[in-house]
Amino acid sequence: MAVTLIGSDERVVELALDGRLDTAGVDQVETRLYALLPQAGQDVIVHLAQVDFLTSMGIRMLVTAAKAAARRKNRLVLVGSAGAVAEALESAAIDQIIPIRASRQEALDWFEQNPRA
Amino acid sequence: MSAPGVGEVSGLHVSIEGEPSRIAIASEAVRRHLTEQGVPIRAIQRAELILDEILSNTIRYGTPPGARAVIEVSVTLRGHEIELIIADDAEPFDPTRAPEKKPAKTLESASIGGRGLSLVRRATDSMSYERRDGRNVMRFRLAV
Repeated sequence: MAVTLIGSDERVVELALDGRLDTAGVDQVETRLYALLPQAGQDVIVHLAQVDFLTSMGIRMLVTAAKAAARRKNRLVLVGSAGAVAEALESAAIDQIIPIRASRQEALDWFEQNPRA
Repeated sequence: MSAPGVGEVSGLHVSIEGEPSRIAIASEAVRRHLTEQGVPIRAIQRAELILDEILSNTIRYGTPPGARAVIEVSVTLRGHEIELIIADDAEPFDPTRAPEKKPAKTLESASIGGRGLSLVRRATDSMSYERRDGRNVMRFRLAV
């Protein structure tokens, strides 16, 4: 399990998760994921296309990251979930609390359409 | 020799100490076993999800600080059904009676955790519980 900073400009930081987000996987990446969250002023895209398994521990980590971003007035969007990962996010109704988009462009469009408060 | 196909009866039994790093060992054993039986990946992932959630819950909340449960995991493929039995000597816990949390409507009001049993309920086709000889015995059935 890994988390990688794959892009950053003045508006958006992009992080990619790779592997299994289960109890063991979360242990390996959560500290680094939280450390990579930007200070106020940059929104966050978390890419999930390379995550192939997600449990409630992984969802807990994503919700914690979204709340940490929100405390800094940043928005966090999840991108590219598929298969079992999309199913778990849907089962837990995560789309009610964190925007989930199919692609990077859709995430950027969402930031455009939902100006910062 | 080829692996038996879906339709035959084949079982796996794993015993682990109730410690977080052991979850991956049990999960790997179940994944390998069901893969060898020709079970489709989505059904394997559902079984692994249930296993991760229940073991994680037992290990984190089922024993007093410093104590460790002994957890037995059995997986049997019968026809087009996986039976997953998880038994432990931790505190009594009946997942079939645990209340389901309502999903939050806003990020601000959402709790960070507490979604494991909801995921288990959606991943399994049936689940049952009994307390037997001082042990929790949880049985899950999943269609392949």
